Amino acid sequence: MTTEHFVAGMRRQVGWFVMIGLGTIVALLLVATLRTELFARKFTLFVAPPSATSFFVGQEVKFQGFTIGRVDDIELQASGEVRIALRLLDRYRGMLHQGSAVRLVKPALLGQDIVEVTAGDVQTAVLNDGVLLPYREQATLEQLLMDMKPAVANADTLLGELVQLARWLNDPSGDVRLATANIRTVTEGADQGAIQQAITRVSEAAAQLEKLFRQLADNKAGEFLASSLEQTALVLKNLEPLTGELSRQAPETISRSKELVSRLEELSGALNSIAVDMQQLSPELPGLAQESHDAILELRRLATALRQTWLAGGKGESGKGPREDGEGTGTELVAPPGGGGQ
Amino acid sequence: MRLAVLLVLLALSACASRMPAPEVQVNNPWQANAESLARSGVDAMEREKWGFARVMFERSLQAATLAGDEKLMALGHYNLGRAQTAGGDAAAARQSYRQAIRQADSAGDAVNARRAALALAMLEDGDAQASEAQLDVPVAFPIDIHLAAARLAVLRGRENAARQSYARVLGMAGKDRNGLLYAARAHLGMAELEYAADSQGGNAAAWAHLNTSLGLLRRAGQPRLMLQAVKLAAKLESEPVRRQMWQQRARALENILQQSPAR
Repeated sequence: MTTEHFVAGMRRQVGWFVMIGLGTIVALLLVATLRTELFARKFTLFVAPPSATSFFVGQEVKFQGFTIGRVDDIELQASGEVRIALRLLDRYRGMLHQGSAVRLVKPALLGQDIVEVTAGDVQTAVLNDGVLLPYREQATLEQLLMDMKPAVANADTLLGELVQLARWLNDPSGDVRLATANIRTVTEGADQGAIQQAITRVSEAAAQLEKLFRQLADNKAGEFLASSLEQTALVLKNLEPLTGELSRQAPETISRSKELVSRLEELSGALNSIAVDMQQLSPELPGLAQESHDAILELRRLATALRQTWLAGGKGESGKGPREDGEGTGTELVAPPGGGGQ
Repeated sequence: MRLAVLLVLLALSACASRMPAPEVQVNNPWQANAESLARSGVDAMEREKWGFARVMFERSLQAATLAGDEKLMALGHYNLGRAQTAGGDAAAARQSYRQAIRQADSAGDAVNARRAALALAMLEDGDAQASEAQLDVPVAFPIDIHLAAARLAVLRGRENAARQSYARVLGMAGKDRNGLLYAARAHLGMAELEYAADSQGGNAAAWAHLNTSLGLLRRAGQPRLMLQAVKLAAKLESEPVRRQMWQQRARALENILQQSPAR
């Protein structure tokens, strides 16, 4: 009797143990399925990018920064076309309209790409199940760097010219030193103080740029840019000795100096474009890029001021008006016609 | 007598004090930033970097919003629309153009409103009646709007309106590179009109416009437009050997442009 009682007790305990274990497993499964939206209603969209690189099964699909589904399947079709299936939660379908597109977004310089779906034209109908969405190329770091190349090349050419001009002006045995007669008369009308002050400020801006480019190189971001633009600071530094020469110049020298200042302004314009590009390039260095951009803007402003106070007087920055190279057309801020069928 | 002199002096000093103080020029840094970014976007468009141009125009629009410059905001939406159109995102471009029109209307900016309306009309082929009203562009409007009106007129089959708009473009084009390109586009447009009017070949008026356009394009450089001009020359040419040469040149240009960007 005692043995039977003991066995019955053991059976009860084992039963309870099994029941509680199974219950826990079921509860865990329930929580997991709820959290992973396993049984939520879903719909499928397709996209055909030029390459499956950067895509993988299970990759998050986001809309406005929220995860709305995952990459379900990737296959290479018989025609050679890549077809990717996106399994998305049905409750978000109302937010996706005709004109919606898929693109890969890089959240930071490092890290996995995220598949993002755009909303499309909200005035049109919502997307149906099984629709093939267009794939949009997102400007990648590499593409942005490639885009910057023409501007950098332009800056390099200008820098080369500036080096030659600066050397010619600073040559102790050159015309600058030798031609001292009638110099005062030629430069009498000039605002010497303003010119010297402007050149000093240009030199200060150049020193700031030099520091920033060194920082860029230290951070290994945009390294080739840093090495390319490092010259800038050196060239601009060469302008400093000119301050003392300005009151002792011959007419030819003055005309060369005017050319130099004009090229300087052009250079600062090219650098400005590069600085704007750099803001896009270095997400981990937004402060640095902004500083660099500001320094270059300041340089450009100073170069313009320098031209304005120059001997023969130059035109100021025209802003929205026509360009300075002859009769301008005045549409420099308007996107040009052509492209995309227009 | 002394009193009279005193009164005159007082009157003079009162007049002098009413003279307005010289206005100090203040630059809005956000506005300068918006303009600078817009220039970069325009430059990227010229290099056919649509994605990059889009990013630049988006940033420019943000800066214009921070600057509170409503006209620049309207232009920003329009520029963004152009980059989206060029990138093949017509739905987004429509939204941008509509936003540009709303923004320009609220700022009383007729120029940008018309600019965006014409671009929208070019996208929406079905709405011909609405676009008819856009063809009559005031003379004082910028050159790009006259060019857009000319193209829309060609699409709508309004030959006279197109010729009138192209003539205005030619009258307004400056002597800088931008101006030469606008003139080249207008001459090319006129050549296409002449060709359409008399497609038998040997059309002297079409050749005159086409040769002028080619000359301008050689000076300013715009491979995509050059390709369009060479293709038209191949159509216009009646002599078989020369036509074949034009066709070969068109193919060569097309291949190069497919392999690498325009600039």
